Amino acid sequence: MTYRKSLTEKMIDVLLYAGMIVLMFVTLYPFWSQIVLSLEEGASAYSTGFMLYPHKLSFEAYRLAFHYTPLWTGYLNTIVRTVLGVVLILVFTALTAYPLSKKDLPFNRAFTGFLLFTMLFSGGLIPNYLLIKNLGLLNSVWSLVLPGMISAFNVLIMRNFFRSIPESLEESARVDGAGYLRIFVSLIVPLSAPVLATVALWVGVGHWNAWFDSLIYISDGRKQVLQVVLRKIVIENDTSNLNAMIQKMSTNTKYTGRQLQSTVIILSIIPMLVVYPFVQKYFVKGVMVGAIKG
Amino acid sequence: MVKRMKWLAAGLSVIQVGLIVSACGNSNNNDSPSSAAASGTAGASASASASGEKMKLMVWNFDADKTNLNGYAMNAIREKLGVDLDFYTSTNDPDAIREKLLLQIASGEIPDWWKEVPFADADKFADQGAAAEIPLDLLEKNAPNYMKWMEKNLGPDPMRYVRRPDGKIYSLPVLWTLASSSEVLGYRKDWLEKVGITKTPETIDEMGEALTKFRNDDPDGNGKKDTYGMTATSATISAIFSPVFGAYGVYPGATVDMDGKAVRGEVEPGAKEALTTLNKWFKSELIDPEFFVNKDTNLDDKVISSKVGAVSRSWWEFLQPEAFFSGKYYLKLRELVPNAEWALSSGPKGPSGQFGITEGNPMLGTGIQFGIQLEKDQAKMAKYLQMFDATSFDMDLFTKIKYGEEGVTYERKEDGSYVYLPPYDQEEERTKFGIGPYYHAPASFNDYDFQAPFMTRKDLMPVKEEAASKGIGKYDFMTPLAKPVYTEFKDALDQMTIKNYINFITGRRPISEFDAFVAEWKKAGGEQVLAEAQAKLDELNKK
Amino acid sequence: MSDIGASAEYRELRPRAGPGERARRFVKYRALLLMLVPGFIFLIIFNYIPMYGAILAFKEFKIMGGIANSPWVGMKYFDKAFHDPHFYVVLKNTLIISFYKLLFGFPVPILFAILLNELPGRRFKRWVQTISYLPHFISWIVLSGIFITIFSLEGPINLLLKAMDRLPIIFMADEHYFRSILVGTSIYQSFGWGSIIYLAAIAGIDPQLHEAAIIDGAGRFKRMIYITLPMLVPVISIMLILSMGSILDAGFDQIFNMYNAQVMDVADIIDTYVYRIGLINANYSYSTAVGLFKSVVALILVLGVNRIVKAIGGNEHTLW
Repeated sequence: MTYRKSLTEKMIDVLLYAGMIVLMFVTLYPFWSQIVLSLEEGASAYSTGFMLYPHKLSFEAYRLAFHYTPLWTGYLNTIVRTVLGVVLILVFTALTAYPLSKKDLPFNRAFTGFLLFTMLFSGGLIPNYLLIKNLGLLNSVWSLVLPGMISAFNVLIMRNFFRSIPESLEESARVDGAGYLRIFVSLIVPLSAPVLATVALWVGVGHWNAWFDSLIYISDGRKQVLQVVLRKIVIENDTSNLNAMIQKMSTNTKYTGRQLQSTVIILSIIPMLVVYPFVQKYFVKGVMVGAIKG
Repeated sequence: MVKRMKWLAAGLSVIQVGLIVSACGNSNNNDSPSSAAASGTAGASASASASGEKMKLMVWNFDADKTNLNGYAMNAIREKLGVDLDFYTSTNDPDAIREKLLLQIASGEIPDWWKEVPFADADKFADQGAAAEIPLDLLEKNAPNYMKWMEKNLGPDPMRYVRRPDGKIYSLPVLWTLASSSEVLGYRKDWLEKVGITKTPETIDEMGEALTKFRNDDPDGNGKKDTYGMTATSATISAIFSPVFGAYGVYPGATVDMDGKAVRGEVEPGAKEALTTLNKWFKSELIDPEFFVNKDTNLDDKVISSKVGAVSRSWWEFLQPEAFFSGKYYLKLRELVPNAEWALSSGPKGPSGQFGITEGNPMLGTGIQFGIQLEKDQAKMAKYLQMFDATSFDMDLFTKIKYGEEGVTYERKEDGSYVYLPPYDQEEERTKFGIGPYYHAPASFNDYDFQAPFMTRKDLMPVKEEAASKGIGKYDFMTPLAKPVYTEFKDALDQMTIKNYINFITGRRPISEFDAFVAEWKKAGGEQVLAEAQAKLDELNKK
Repeated sequence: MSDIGASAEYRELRPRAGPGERARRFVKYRALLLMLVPGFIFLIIFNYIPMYGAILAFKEFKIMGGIANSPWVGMKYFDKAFHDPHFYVVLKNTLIISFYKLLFGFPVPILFAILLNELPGRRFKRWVQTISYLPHFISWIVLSGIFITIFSLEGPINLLLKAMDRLPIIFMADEHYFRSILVGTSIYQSFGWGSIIYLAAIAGIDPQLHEAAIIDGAGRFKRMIYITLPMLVPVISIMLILSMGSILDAGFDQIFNMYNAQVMDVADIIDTYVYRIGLINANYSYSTAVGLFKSVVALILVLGVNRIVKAIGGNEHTLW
């Protein structure tokens, strides 16, 4: 690039940098406070002020968490459902979105309406449970993956991205004799890396954080997902719920304390942070492919 | 084109395979005992028992990570009752347990039994034919110890509280005997001494004096005026400084029996006096100025980090864990302030010598209900009753379930306490061996006298007794009773009361308008609620 | 090639109605129509089949009878909601809170994405982006605890007020501030996460457009306004329309964990109210009725906003 920045523009850069750094600190705080809490020893975790650094460092909670087997089975189950969910959702969402991106597809408006309707109306818990039960999916990972396979929101977002891909690219491919399927696989999909990455991130995080479906559909403890395990630890520390309290008393469970709670929160977020940079790469990659083709 | 079709066909067959795989996966799952059992119906089990096989009973498992289907505890129950056992697996979240149970019943997989659903749900299950009738003679014959325990606590005919208008019983009540005497008022004893008060405050004036000094005399010695006398939350009506109301003879948040009259403490004249006192304290900054913003966690933070000197909570929170349960305010506070100590009180005495705190009704849960299919399988219901009775009141079985085998997993110390032997002092090892408190068969009938040796170290017994004796007050007699009118107006009335109470205490609304508030309350449904309660009370007292 | 040229060409290709024309398009798009099949099978099985459950709103749910055998009660539960004076309070609060969240919360991720894109230094950019979406992963139980601390009497904001010789304010219990706090903290939690879609869209902009503008002497600000922003319009408009679908979800988790009795009149929303009622007495029919009501409102809003977008920007940016 030959473009040179003027002095004012450099000033703006500095301001932007400063603003972003402040923003970073502000948004980092809740996460940081959980890290601090997870490393805090014992009662210091109960404090009314800010948590900027641990007063007494302790790795006890991490040691406990690492020896807690259900956490790791939960991890495994969550990874399975997330990977399965992301891959299948991407495939079927893209398959559905591509035809709808053709404005002159027969009955396009009807199809879109049919799709949109599902975003706004649902039948509630009971029919969904009955459906899963009658399909024989109870206690299986498919009960967590299949119901959310097509979400109107994702389809519409993807459809709109496909529409923004220059029609001329497709036309030239068609002139070369390629059918729609080949165009879809070899042209549209590679060009759509940014939107695929976005949707993957959305549904990936959605699957990672989901717990209610697992609670309802999965009764085998060894198949429970991470978030259910985490909730269990959190509830064990909940003193406001009387029933939970009585149960705790009858089982003589001691409070596991705030450190363990924060530790499991941190442990559940970290994989997301590790994965993110890999996804982020595709935001940039999409542009480069686009530039070469263009 | 043909190529494309092939591709598509391949794609579709992938889906089909997926579905087949899922179906297979599921049929495999059905082999796993829990799901097979969950879908098992009464008919199947009845025929099983008829053909001479062992009867199969179900045990609830809310902690799948801490239980062992074929461990020592389960085998002990199997042996004792001559039955086969399996798990119903759920989770420890009460809301989720309830949701899942509703779904299971609605979809026709009714469990053999369940425990502690909310009263309204239990009534619905009985009304709509999901819960089985429990014949009294069956109960008396198969669960005699349970009946004895109920009679001990509720007097003769303990089932009168759960008998429905048709004269039948659909649930086994669970008593949580601690509820009616759990709330106490704790003062920081070390603070009292620091500010020169030698005895635990007894009257409302003495309490006011103590709180004043907690605020002004720097009890934590940090040189800053950063402590308050007392705090609370506004999560429920009774969480708002209940001991102060007790001093004026009223119990907000509960429908109580005052000499045959059903009374809600929040609209009684005594409440006006209590609010006047609290308003005075608020103005002199004795109570936490943002108590109404507190959530439970903030409350814990403020108590444990020594920001307040008095708080009302269950007595066991103020004691060392060995005395009864995991005393949070004792343990955590002492880590920060090693010489911290609590002085417990039943609340201050008011001008006419009244005192007390709003307590909980011991019948706070609906207890146990049986699925409708057991109505036709009385033999099984009888077996369940025997199991419930034995696991709760048979010392030998109770010990086996919780502690395992003497000399192997535990030993009894000279002072009578039970101690796990290594390696069973580790929970993981106990889980593998299959013992512990997580086997809900039903683990609901907690006779704390019977369980005392397990809960309290012998030398701490007096400490525990002393603390437990402080929990005095009244509770809501309506808790276990059907109350449609109350259910309808509860939310509106509660929100209105909490809001007005905060306004009266903080001075946003002058206390002279208390009578106006009472009128508003009655108009908003309070009148009907009181009438309903009165009718119920008359009915109860008549019997 | 340029994008504008492509869409002009595209417009010329727009079909004219007519049976012969439709048949021709059927043939042309047969492969695409087949591609729709698996997705629509999923929709029918997992979305449409369970929808019969919505009739529970007009029935008295009997647990042993199932949905089919429960007796009809007509509009009973709608009447119940509409005759409940508190329902109007929570409906109003829901709409107000939701509207404010949309009004103030919707532009923030867009602005953030554009500004972030302006930052030189790819590594720094990545860091900012990663950190900005961290609050999205922290549950409201944890976040509310933090915010209660920040807005408490001893918190930093009141310390600031004290330093300026002002009287301290209990923000969390003040009806004048509470909704602003809700909106502000909700933006805080979600702006980074919300910006992902815009960053992806920005990444999709052809760099040649910028290069051409640079040659023409356009400054950064001008390119921001005349290139980046217009290229985002399609995403912005569809996100706006789709956000209408959840306009009656004002944020249960957030409000439930932050509200208290003092601000009930401004903070109680449909979801928190239904939750509290349900705690006392689980009632599937009532909550189904409320859910159906929310759906109808959402449908009207989505169609309405779609029409408005159409009126302003033409067919290009609408749902259909």
